[in-house]
Amino acid sequence: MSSGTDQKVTIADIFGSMESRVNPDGVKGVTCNCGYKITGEGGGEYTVTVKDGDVKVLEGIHSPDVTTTASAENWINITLGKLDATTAFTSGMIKIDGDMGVMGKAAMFFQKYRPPAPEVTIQDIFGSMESRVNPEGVKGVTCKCGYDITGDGGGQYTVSVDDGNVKVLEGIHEPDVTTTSNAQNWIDITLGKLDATTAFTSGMIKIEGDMGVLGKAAMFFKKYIPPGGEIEEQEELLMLPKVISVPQKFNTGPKMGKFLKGLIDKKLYANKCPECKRLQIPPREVCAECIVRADEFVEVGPDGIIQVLDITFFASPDPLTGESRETPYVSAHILLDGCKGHETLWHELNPANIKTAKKGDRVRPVWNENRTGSVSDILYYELIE
Amino acid sequence: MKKNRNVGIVGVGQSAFSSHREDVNQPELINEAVNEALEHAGITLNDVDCVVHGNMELFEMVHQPDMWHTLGTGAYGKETIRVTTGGTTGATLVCVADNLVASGMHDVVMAIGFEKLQEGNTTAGITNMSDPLWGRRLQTGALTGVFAQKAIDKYGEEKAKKAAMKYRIIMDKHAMKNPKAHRRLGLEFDEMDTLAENSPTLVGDLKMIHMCSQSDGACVVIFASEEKAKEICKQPAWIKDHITVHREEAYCAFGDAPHTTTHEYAAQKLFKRNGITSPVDELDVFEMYDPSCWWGIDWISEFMMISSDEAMKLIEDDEIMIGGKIPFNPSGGVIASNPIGATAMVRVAEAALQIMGDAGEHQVPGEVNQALASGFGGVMWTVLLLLTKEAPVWNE
Repeated sequence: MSSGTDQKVTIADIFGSMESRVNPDGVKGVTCNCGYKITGEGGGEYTVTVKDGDVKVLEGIHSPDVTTTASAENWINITLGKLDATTAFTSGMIKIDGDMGVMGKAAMFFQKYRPPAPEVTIQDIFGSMESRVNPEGVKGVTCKCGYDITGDGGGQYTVSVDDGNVKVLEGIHEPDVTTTSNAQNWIDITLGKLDATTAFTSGMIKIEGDMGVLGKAAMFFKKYIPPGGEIEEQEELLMLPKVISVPQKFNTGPKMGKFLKGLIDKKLYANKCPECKRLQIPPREVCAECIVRADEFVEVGPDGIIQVLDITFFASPDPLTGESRETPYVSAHILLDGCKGHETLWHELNPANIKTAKKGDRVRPVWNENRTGSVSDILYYELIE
Repeated sequence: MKKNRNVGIVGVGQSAFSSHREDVNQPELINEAVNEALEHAGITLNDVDCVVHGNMELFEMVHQPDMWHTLGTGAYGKETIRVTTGGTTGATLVCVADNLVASGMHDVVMAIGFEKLQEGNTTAGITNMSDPLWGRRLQTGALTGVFAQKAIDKYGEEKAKKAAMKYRIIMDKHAMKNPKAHRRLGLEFDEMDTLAENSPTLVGDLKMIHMCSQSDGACVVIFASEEKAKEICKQPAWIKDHITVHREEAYCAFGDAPHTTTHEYAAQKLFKRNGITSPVDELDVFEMYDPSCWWGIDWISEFMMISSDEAMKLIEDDEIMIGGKIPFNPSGGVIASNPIGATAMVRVAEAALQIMGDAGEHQVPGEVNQALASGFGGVMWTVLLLLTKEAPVWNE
């Protein structure tokens, strides 16, 4: 939201403001602990604990499911959107240990961080006036404008213009016109957040004396720049979140239908090409190499050996449920007994077997109790000890 | 092989590629590339006869996005064709535009490829391409560790991992010269080991540092008949030939079935009918669709028709770098920027810029007479395109 105010952004403020920035939809039903080790100057250790949607931010690391390590500078830049988190992660600028799936959810926990606005004071507004004189605006003008700024951080000032020569004095000294406002409103008017005419019309500021002088006073000074630079209110562009969920049904056809039906009885059927004699599992209407109908079915397996293993550590959404999959999970090609070459069946391996499983190991299917004739009738394959 | 008439690329436009294009909606993003391409060609929308539009609709889940995009594409009142062929979409758009002009149907055709990956979910989208009766629950999106394993089995762990990271860093060094590239990390060769070690694992030995980005972006290429092209453009990039190869065997594609890959098949056939016997020596630049550096190092030998040892040597000797014998992806490639529906077109666009001499800081030194560009998509498809500096001459 602002530029040049980054020196005001601290790790303490980023984490300290988190509880007030919770995004209720993002934490709904979530329970996890995310640890953050922010290193270097201004760093610190924090744990964001989410318990069924209830969020607490604690100092220190407390039994995290996933821990993110980053330097304070990089973390501030990521928070402000100046550094792309994926790029930082990819290039090793930040490190993530533990459950990546949790991290994917964590991105939705909080609303956007807004850096604290630079401190604008009445003293600074009036104190900087002499350096902001607009020579064109004061040329030939002689007058005294009093300002009675009330409330916390207020004060009394007189802007004295003597034939173009400007002095700002503390206190009210024989003014031609006096403006009364509380400190916050005057700051907002000065920063352009509050329209002066509206404020006057609605009685938020009061003016007593020569109104004509005040008309000129609007031209006396150049624009006030708050300490740390100009505040640029950027228009927030909206993003519309949408979720598509579409129930679908697919016809299986006679070949695939027979194969799926077999699963209900814990049987695996391949079909055989009448020409090249190779097996296809799952079966298809024709042999894809010979382009002839393949009507003969052969029972194979159900045990076999691992031919290809693909162990996925990256949490991606399951398109059937929209939920992130538990990681790691294993995609495997299994050569069932009775099959040869690359006549493999594509399924999954029990994640518990990841550490020891290798190509050539014998595996057996673990059947689902409730079989409906689908890929889920086999929960996964597991190593035969 | 004979064309009815020659077709030249006369204009190229690309939006900035980034994962942070929240500042624009889809039509606005496309419009950036449209304007740049028209400006590059020095023509206006009035000169364009037909607009060809494409992307991966499963990613943003917008049906007929070409309708929504009309104000950004400028297609109003023009003939419009929508094409969507998965990862190869961008390259297929080029083939379609080439056919439309070569046939004589249109004189000037504008092709638009785009993607706003941040507006959908790439992995869920790609998983939906899998056979719904069996594969959809098993598909791991676009990620696979199989190619890393294949290289490790072939060369040994140390040599394979080193080659993959060398390739990765070369691509980053190229991307640093391309202001449009999404990921420009400033990697150095001596960081190779720590980068790989610190990068999180995706699948098997495939780490995040090895993998391509997910980008928002649009690419536009303008095609003209020979007569028009010579009128509009000082140096068009001529489309000499292209070939599209699909493989039906989806089930075994990720198994270990020994077969001629679609890349090998496409390269052999395309080079044979164009009289190219030694691609490494005869081609001047190759913009290859390389989704990760593991696929990159595997495919060099397939496209260049050389042994895998020779391919390794090209990497080790910096011959695939700008200034080398056959520079690969002077733009930084897909690893640097991947707005998927645009990605394959960016390969052609960048190859064309090299021939036109308009690639800027990532222009390869010396004459670029022949450039190759490839598109890749699931499940195992290849589109391969050959561009030339001289207008092709067709013998009866």
